[in-house]
Order: sequence, then C-alpha cells, then structure tokens
Amino acid sequence: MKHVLMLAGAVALLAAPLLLSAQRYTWEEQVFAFEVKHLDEFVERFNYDPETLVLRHLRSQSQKQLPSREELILTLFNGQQEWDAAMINRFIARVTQPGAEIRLNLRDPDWYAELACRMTYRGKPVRPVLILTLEHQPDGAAKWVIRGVRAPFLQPAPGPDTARHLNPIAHGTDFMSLGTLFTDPQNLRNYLYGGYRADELSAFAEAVRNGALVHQQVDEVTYHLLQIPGWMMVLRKYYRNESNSGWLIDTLLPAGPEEKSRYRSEQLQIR
Amino acid sequence: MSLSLLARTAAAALFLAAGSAYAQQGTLYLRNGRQMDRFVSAVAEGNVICKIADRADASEEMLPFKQLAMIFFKDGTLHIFDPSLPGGTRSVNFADGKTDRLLTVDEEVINGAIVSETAESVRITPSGKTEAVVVRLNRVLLILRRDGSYLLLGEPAEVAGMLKNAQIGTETAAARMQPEPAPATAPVPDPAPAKPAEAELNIDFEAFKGKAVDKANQLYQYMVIIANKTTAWEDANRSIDQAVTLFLNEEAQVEVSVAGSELKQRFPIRKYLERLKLLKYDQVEITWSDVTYVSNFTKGPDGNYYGVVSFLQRFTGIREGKPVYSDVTRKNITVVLKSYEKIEGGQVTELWDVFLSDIGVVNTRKG
Repeated sequence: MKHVLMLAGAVALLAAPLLLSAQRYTWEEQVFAFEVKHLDEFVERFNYDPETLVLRHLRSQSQKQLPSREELILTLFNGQQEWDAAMINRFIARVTQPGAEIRLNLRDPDWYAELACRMTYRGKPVRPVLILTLEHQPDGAAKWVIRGVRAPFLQPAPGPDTARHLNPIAHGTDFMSLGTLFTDPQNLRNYLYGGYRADELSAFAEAVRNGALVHQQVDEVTYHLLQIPGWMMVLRKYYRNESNSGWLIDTLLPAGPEEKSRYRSEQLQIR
Repeated sequence: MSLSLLARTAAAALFLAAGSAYAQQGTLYLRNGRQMDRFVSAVAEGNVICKIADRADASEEMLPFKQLAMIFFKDGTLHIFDPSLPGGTRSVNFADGKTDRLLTVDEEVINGAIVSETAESVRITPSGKTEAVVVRLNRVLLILRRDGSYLLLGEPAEVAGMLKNAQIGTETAAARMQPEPAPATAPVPDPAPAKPAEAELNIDFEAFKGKAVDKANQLYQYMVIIANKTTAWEDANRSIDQAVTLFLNEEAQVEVSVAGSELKQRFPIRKYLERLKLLKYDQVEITWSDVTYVSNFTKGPDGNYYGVVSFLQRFTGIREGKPVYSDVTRKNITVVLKSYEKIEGGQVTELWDVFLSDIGVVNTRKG
C-alpha cells in the first residue's frame, strides 16, 4: 500500500499548485507545464536542475515550498501501475545519496532509444525495431546512430526447394557443385549451417541501400537507461490529461553488469 | 582569425569583385521539385543566401547547395548544382545573343537557331546546318534561348545532372567563387585550432533560446493570419511565404499524429500551411500557450546546434457563429542554430541565427 500512497503524494504535490493557479492558466496549460515533454526534460527533473520548466513554473506561481529532489524524482514514475515501494526508495536513496549523487547526462554512455517502426519490405508491411544511441564526437558534436535492429523478416528463409543443397558426398568431386549456390540464390539458406543468423543491422543497411526497405513512420519510442550503476530503467510516454504524464519511468530494475550485458544482447540486439 | 575564416573572407572578396551579377532576382529550382523566385545575394561556400524577391523586409534565408538543382537569373546566367562538381556548383551564361540550345531526353544538347516554337514542338536549325529540324516538346527537357530566357520542361535535378558538364555557354566568374589557395607570399596564419569548444564560440545560447521562442511565436502569428477567413487570398499567400522563411529550408516537415491513433500524416511545411489556408470554416481561432518548453542546444556534426521548443495549441473551427471543431495539440518544433556569413563593406562577419525545422504535432484531445 505504501507505494500507492507515496506516488499519490507525489502526484498531489504537483496537482495542488495545478489547481491553485487554475485562474491564471487553463487546465491544459497546467498539465502541459507538468508533463515531462521530452527526454531532456526528464533528465533536467531527475537532476533537479533549478531552471527546469516545472520548477520555474512553480516559482512563478509563488509556490512557497518547492518539491525536494527526492519528491521530484518520485513524480517521474508512472503513477498508474504497481510499484515495489522499497525498491523505489532504495533507488532514490542511492541517486540522491549525499556526496555521491547520481545525475543523468545525455552524454552518458549506455542508454538507448528503441523505435518501433512501420515500414514496407519488398512492398509488404513490416514492423522492425531500431535501437539508436547518441554518438558523441571529440568536438562536442553528437548525432543519433542506429546501433541495432530487430527485423526477423531480414533473416533468410529456408529455400523453397529442399532438394537444392550440397549433397553429402560433394567432397567426392572436390565440391564442384558449389557453383549451384550462386545460380540459385533463392535457396541460399539451404547452403548455410543450421544455426546461422544474419547480422540484422548489416541486412538492414543492405535492404535500405537497395531500396527494398521503405520507411513509413515511427510508431513508438522507448528509452532504455542503463548508465546508473546497479540499476536500469525504461521510459515510456504517457499522454493523459493529468500532471503525471509524458516521459515516465515504466520499468525500474536492480541490474548488475551481467544483467545489463544480457539485456543489451537479448533485448536491444546490441552485440 | 582561423584559416577557414580567412579562406571564406577571400572567397567573399572574390564574390564582391566579381560584380553584382548575383545580387539580382533569380528563379531557384530545388531538388525536391519546388520552384522559388528569390533575390539572391550570395552563392558561395556551399550555401545560397537569398530572400523573397518583392519584400524589402523579408529576412534572409540560407539554402545549402545540396538542396538546389539550378538557379536561372534574368541575365541568362545559370547556376548548376551537383555534388560531383568542384565546389558543388558551376555557373554559365547562355545569353550570347547568337545561339539557342535544346537539351533533349537523350542528353543531347542541340545548338542552333530556333525558327519557331509551338505548344507541341520546337523548330531549330542546328549550327552548321542549313535545314531546320522539328523536335517534339515531349523529347525536350530544357530550352535555353539566346536572349537569356528559358523553358524548363524536365525535372530540375535530372536536368542539372545532365548539364553539369555540358557546353552551354560561357563560364562566368561565379565559377571562381570557391576559396582559392592563399598566395605563396601571404602570411601564414596560425594553424587552425581544433574545433572550438562550445564555450569558446561565445554563443549566447540563452538568448537564442528566447529567439527560438520568438520565431515559433512568429509562426503562430502567421498561422492565425493564414487560417483567418477574412484574410485576402494574396495576403494569406504572402504570409505563407513569410512563414516559410522562418524555417531552415522548405524540406522541413510537419508530422501530425493523434494520440491513440496509428497512422501519422506528414507534410512539407509549405503544403501544411496551404492546407491551413484551405480549411472550410467561417472563422478559426488559434491560441498558443504561454507555457513553453525550450531544451538546451546540442551541437550536431554539421556544426549547427539543435534544440526543441514545445507549445500547446488550441484550435477552434467556427461555422455560422458556432464552434464545430476544436482540438488541443502539442507542437514540438525542432530549432536549428546555424552560422552564416554577412558581407558588408567587403567584410565577412560570421553570425548565428536560429531557424525552425521539423514540427511534430500531437493531437491529444478533440473538443
């Protein structure tokens, strides 16, 4: 029950000034001010940046008592799901530990954007997932780059003609029939070892290059933040007409190096 | 002064020395097929600086070469843009008073004297021949007339690609506008430092955050004018032109999504504004929130700085005095802080300005 009360308290913390200042701002404007509109704003609030919009907004309304960093971090959790309160407490205690505070930075390594996309592959609708990361350059410049791809449709399918393969006695002729592979690319998979998995990022790049893969839109974005030692979290965007909205923590897990390594490999397809 | 700035200064000086051939009105053809009439003040260093031709108060816009296919000036000067050209561009004057030229779909340039033109064909006597030939217009991509006029029938990017090496006139001074190597006797500047750190650039990012909000507000003001049914058609069109100048370029897209709905719609900025002009309401009310979020600027690999400005917009469509549609949307506007060079009195000054770019519109609630 504690977790419900705690999050309800955090939401109320922001809802009170929202109601108090209703005369000056519309409800939508108030919600907009409190909504975590961008990842950048999530980082600002997590770090308790005094210039972040919500704190400026509260100050502008002569809010006597601003939320503490702990309280502000609490408002970054999705209030409409079940949480392990003890775990949240441990997490907040760790990142706000006096003298050893942890703050987020967009220049941190080990955080990723997951893009659920809508595309067509050879004219057929497909839903690949791209994993992007911010790549930083020595001069301070940065750009988003594609780091991984989940696109099962790019794996070569078994050939339609199972009779097409290198027969078990091909060595008897010094593999002279190897040439059939090159004239019969439809059955390529039959010539590769059973456990073969195509590198989907390479296959993706090739499919883009040859025009087989055509982008339509990004359906959904999720952020995976693995940079906090001992923890990882997943952020999702919640559109709703209340202060606890926008980019919120959807998943928080204690995670050591091994768990993170497995997560990168299995969930994010980063090798 | 860094080596690159010296080189740019030299290039600008060359540009000025070349005369005012480029300080004139031209028709710009973009690779995306768009056509714009602009007053062009500079074609150098990978960018074309121009502004709306008939408005003295229009702000300058900067178009990178990569977006352009060709510019035709009224004096018969033709700029061709292609990444494979040295410096990315070539300038030719085809108004020699003697020769007309046809570019055909076979990539052939026919030099000669045009005898007649109809809606379906052109009759030309090729140079060195005595008999005229008739070329059907569906075989012609471009007509360059000896008086400097022209008729473009093909896709600009395709035509530019065909003309990049073609003999179609006299190379003009603009071809020399690329930075030239410093003469051997010139003082050797200190080696250019590695790219300056953000603090060394002396950019007032907070001021540009304010300017980004100002530009977004200007866009809002234009949108109100464009959508207002009492606005005269020409005024709405002019507001569209002016609104577009707030953007880095016309490739800026507006993507509209509805929370809970699957498909998004995407429009180039001009088309988005034109759709706004065509809305079928007697009256529309658009209001933007006072509450605005502006992110910090982050440097991109191209040297520009990128940020995002977010607003809340309420839209109400009114028919016969009654609101028949309303919605509340969040607008996330990419803003780009970009450097440009101002040439004044032969001096080149590097300045920064902020431009709007892609806009994400999320419709979260319909009223």
